[in-house]
Parts: sequence; structure tokens; C-alpha cells
Amino acid sequence: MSARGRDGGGEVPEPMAGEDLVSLLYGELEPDEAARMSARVATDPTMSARLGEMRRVRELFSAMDDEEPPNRLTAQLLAEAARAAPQPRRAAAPAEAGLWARFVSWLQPLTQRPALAAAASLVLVAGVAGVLYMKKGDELTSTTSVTARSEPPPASSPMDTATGSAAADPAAPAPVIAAQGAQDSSGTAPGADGDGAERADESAKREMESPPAKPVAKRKRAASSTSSGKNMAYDKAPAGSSVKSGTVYGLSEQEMVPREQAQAAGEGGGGPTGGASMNKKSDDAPAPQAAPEPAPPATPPPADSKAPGKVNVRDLHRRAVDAAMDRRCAEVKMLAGQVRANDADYYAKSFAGDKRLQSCLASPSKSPARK
Amino acid sequence: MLRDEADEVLMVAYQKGDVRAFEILLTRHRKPVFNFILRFVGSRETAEDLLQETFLRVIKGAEAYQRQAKFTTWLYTIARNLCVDQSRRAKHRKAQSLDAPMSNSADSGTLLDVVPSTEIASDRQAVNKELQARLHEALARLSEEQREVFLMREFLDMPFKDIADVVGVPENTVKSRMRYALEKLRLELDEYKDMAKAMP
Repeated sequence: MSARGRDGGGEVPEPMAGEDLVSLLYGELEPDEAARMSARVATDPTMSARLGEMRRVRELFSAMDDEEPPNRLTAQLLAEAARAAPQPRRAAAPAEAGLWARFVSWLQPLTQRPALAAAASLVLVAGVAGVLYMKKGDELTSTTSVTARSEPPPASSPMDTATGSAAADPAAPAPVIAAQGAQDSSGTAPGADGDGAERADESAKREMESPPAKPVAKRKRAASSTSSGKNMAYDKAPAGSSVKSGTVYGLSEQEMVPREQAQAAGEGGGGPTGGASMNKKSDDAPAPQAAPEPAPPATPPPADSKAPGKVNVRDLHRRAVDAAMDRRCAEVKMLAGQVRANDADYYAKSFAGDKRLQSCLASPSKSPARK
Repeated sequence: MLRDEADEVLMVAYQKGDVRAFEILLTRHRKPVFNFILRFVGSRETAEDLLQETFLRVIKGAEAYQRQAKFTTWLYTIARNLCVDQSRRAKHRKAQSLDAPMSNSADSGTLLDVVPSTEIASDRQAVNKELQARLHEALARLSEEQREVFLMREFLDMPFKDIADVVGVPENTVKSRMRYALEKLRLELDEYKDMAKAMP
């Protein structure tokens, strides 16, 4: 095979099988081909001489020394390789990392900025506190509401407890406080005009009935009595005692009496005087089991005072007391008849036993006479 | 162990960001590549620059590297192309003979005179020093096509097929160039043929 002039290097006379001779020289022939070529070279002095000359050239260059590249190049290249390392692994790292590694990487900006971390902590604490406060308020409100609805009405006579002459009802202790807490929480201070006590006293049906709002002057008076430091008797009673509930009812009944008259009669001088005092009582009261803390506004007061077609025996009772104080016994008797007709039980337990009315109720019927 | 892995495995590892893999590749190939470049261009300073450029191109091209490609073929293609470009730029400058004076002064020596030597060189070391210079000179006298083929086959031990891939010509063309390179070197170094016989 001739390679003359094929690659610009044909200045040397072409020996036979020159490329094969090169392949034989560098051992790149297949074994059988190498054997065949070797046999041919052995029988051809020209080719044998040529192969010998090539081997000597190789032997000369085998003595050529290698030189070492400078180490600074190696260091520079390694630094560059580290700086410009391909990105796939870096990008894939977060995806391959665990949840904890992701969480840590997510928090890394916070750890690098202390101020930001402090602000985040503050927000976290405020958030948790807010949630706890709201949750606690909801629980208290729901407990109060449920208690107020589920508890049966007291069986004892409010008037008896009001006068302190009757034993308190042992069946209605703490729930009353809870109910009162609900009333207090309405934000309308219904107890200032006796509504709270009335609701606690009446049955569930009667709780829907309420006397009309009292004059503002009375409310102010009630508030002033509270500010004067007058406390209810039950404030000193042990938690859960029957005295507490009885006193509450007694207080309610006190509110049934106009304050001016109560003070004039000397009944309210040292006793509780008004819903504001109930608020105070609620604030100072020992913690009940179901409602340890005052509940935030949640339960609106019942619209009992606006119920049409219902006769409020308490209102009649109040009017009868007014009439009795004015010695209008005929009116007292007329109101007594109405109370008895509408609520015989109330009449028997409360109205008939009211000492203020006894003088009129016991007197023979005659035409009303005003002073 | 990473150090025992093939070039292609190491390159894939570096593709994934493993700088240690690249360090092994660099350690494994920096010396042969440097000597290939040095013998191709004949200048150590240029060889250093081209060695750095070669591996910088490996770094830059790492993301595009495909495992099917033989790493050494890719690496020496880069180095060879850089050498060819450098050689072509040098052709625009006045060719400087190895035995021409390095300066215009009368007492200026030749490039052969600056080959490092020891103070107490034996006769053999002196002969070896001269031989080294003559070998460099003989290589410099080869054509680029013959030189690159000879360097890759003789010093890098690359098969003719791989050389053909790097150079981009048929394998038989590579063998032909090799044959002519050997013949020319024989003529250039004829006076040292007896020395070759005496080499251990």
C-alpha cells in the first residue's frame, strides 16, 4: 500500500506496507496479522532494516525527559473548578434533603438576622397569646351559656331570701353565679334595675319577661352604692355554699323594691343595693367551678320586658308595694287579685308574704283612699 | 473509591458538583497534557498558558459533557486545537530557529545553550543534555500534522484510532503521518542512532 503524497509527507520512498509496519511497531495489529507481518519482515531485509530504524527513533525519544507543570497552575485550576462547579447538584440538594434540612434552610434568613428573629418571636408569642385568650373566652362563654340555660329555676322564694328569714335553696348555688356572669357579661348591666336577679329567680319562661328599664337616676344610685364599697353578704360566704345563692336571690328581690322606698324602710341600708353591686359581687366572687373568670360579652339579655300579652307579676307586685306605701289598699288588693290570677304560686310564695303589703291585704275592702 | 474510577465516571461526578473528582482528573492528566503541549509549541511559558486554558475549557464545558464521549479524546482535542491555534498565530511572526542567536549581540548563545545543566555533569549527562536539545529540535522540524500524531502516539500512548478522532482524519491517514514522522526523525537524529543502541 502506498501513501505517497497523500498527507503531504511523501518525501520518503514508500516501503511496502508502510502503515502496517507502523501498526506492527506500535503493536496495534491483531495477533494473527502481527504474526503474518512479522514473518514477512523477517524474510524482507529492507523492511526489517526500516523497522529497526523506527525502533531506534522510538528508543531515542524514550530518553526524552518529562517536565512537571507548575503547582500554582494546579491550585488555580482547582480554585476555579470549585468556584464554577456545575449547578445540578446544588439545585438538586434541597429537593433531596429531608424535611428538617428544608426547615433549617427556611429558617436560615432568621438565624442570619437577629433583629428579624426577635420580631418573629414577638409576633409568634403575641399570636399564641391572642389565640389562647380568644379560646379561653369562648370556653367561658359557652360554659356560662349552657349553665344558664340548663339549670332549673330555684325553688326557694326570692322574698324569703331577700329578707334573710328563709333558708337558702341548696339546689341552686354556683349556676346562679354563672347565670349572673352571663348577665354581667352582656355589657348592659341589667342587674342595675333588678333584671338579673329576676331572671335568676324566675323559671325559664319567666326569664323571658323583664320589667321596663328603670329611670336613669336609679341606675346612677345603684352605681354609687357600688362605689361606696357596699358588698353583698354572699361575698363572705364560702364558695358553693347555699348562702351564696340565697343571698343572690335575696339581692334580686331587693332590686324588686324601689330603692327610694327600700332605703326609706331601712331595708337596704346595710344590704346590697342594686345590679352594680351584683357586678361587683361577680368580680369579687370566689371562682365557681364552671366559670372561673368573668366571661366576655357573649349572651345578650333576654327581651322579656317586651313580650306582648304577658302579665308581669313582679311588676304588679312592685306596683302593689308602691300602692301599699301610699296606703292605697284597694289598689293593692286589686293587684293582688291580678297576681293571684296570673301566678298563684308566686302569689302564695312571694306576694302574700310581703310584709309591706300585709297591712293592706289584711284590711277590709274599702274604697281606695289616698293620702 | 473515587481515585480508581475511570475518567468518564469522574467527569460525571464533577458534573454533579464533586470538585474532588475534578481534582483527581487534573492530577491524573496535567503532566502528560503539559508535556504534549510543551513539545508541540516548544515554549514552556506558552505551554503553561495553554495547559491552564485547556483545563479551564474542561471546567466550562463540564455541563455539556456526555459520558459516551471518551474523556481523553475530549481533553486532547481541546489541547491539540489550542496548540494548532497557537502555532498558526506564531507563523505570522518571524520563525525563530532553535540555533539562531536569541539576540543581536555577538556573544548571544542559542536556545540549545539554555537547557538546564548541573555543575558536575558526567559525560553521559552532557550527552543526554545534547540529545534532549536535539530531540526538541527534531520535533520542531516536523510538520504540525506529523508532530501531533507522533506526540500523541509516542508520549500519550493513544491508539491510532483515538488520534484519528482527535485530529479528525481517517485512521490510515494518521498511520501514514506517523510513518513519515518516524522517517523524518530518523533522518534528523541519524547521528545519534548509535546512542540509541547504547541506551539501557
